[in-house]
Amino acid sequence: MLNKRIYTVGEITAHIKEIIEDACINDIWVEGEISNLREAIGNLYFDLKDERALLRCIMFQHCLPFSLKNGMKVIVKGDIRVYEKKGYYQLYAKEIKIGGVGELFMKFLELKEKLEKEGLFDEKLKKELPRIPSKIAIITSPDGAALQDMLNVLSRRFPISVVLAPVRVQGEGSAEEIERALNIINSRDDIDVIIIGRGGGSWEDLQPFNEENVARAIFSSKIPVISAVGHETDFTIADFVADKRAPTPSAAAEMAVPDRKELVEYIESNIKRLQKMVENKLTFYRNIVEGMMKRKTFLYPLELLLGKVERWENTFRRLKDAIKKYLNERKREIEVKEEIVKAFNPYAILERGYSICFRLKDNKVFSSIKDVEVGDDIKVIVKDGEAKCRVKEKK
Amino acid sequence: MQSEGEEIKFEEALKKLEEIVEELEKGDMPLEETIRKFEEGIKLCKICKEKLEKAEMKIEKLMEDIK
Repeated sequence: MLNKRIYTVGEITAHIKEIIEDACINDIWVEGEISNLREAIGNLYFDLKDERALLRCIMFQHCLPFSLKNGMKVIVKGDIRVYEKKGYYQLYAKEIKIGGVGELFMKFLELKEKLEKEGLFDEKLKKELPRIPSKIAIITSPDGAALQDMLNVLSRRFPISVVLAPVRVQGEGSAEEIERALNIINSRDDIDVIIIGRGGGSWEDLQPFNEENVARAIFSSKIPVISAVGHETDFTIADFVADKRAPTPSAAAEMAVPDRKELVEYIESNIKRLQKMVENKLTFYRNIVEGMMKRKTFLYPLELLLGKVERWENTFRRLKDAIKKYLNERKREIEVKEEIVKAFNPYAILERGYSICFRLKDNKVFSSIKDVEVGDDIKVIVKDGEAKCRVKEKK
Repeated sequence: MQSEGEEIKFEEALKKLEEIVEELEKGDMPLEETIRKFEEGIKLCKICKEKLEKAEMKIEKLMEDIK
């Protein structure tokens, strides 16, 4: 065999190279995590490693559509050959694919960036949860612990009718089921809140909640959506699009409904506040009314009439005075006229010694001798009496 | 004059009364007219007095009610 002679380094290395390359380890796929990544003159140098071993890799004049990062899990296709100069074997990579979680994570980041740019995560577009929903829909696996957790929390906090939309929450086709469930629930008009979610799992398990169709279905939901996927540390696209993100399914149930006890307390405190407010208002107005009642108007209400009574009394007095004065004046006028008339009274001359003669036959005063005939009876009136006479002669 | 059924208001009656008094105080109206006016004045006086009394009674009754 070979051990009978002394080899040079070159000889033995060439020998190893021959053995290895004769084994034809070509076009194989190797999965591993990238480390010690560096680039020089268009060539990529890196190590692939897992828990057990490390494999040197080189890729000449690469034109990958993405950039590699340390820590990334990849699948590399290539040939194993020996690099004599350095004395090691390495994988001459021809093709690199992002593999496992690495690929999913890249997809996740890309989709997240795209949807964010489109405004699907816009805080301003997020809907408010109703304070007290009347019916909620839960989109999750009917067999999962998440559903039980949510139902427990709901029955403890605020018994409410729940519509379950049973879907698969992982694996092929589950994203489509979730999308369909969202659409169906949105076609109803009795649901106030939707919870979509599932319990914890591996990063790959959560993938349906990172699908674009699920994200868009959440975004176009008219009903507010709470997303509760996995554990507190897991973030999915669904969490970013949903109106509210809950760290766990239980937390989502807590978010969806108020606590009955707290609610009762809140209502009671409001009733108390209301009573207090009404009482305050009543006291306020009572004080105003009482103040009014103490005003003069109400203490001496008849004073309201005082002015009117006075005015009436005054006018009444004036009326009486006016008529009295009028009548007095008229009387006075008559008296004056009477005096004047009296002054012209023919009888007044009797006082001065004159007398007046009447014809007896017709009782007419006569002032001319032609008015009497001899033998006529006449009456002569003097100041204190009258004498009946007969005409004896005329001249 | 006020038509029937339509009650004259206190202020209106008093104003009319005052007008009559003023006319009468001038003292240049014929007697019959004066008497007629006086008669109307007395009527208005009565109306005013009744209204005032009614108002007083009403006020007193209202004050009773809130005691």
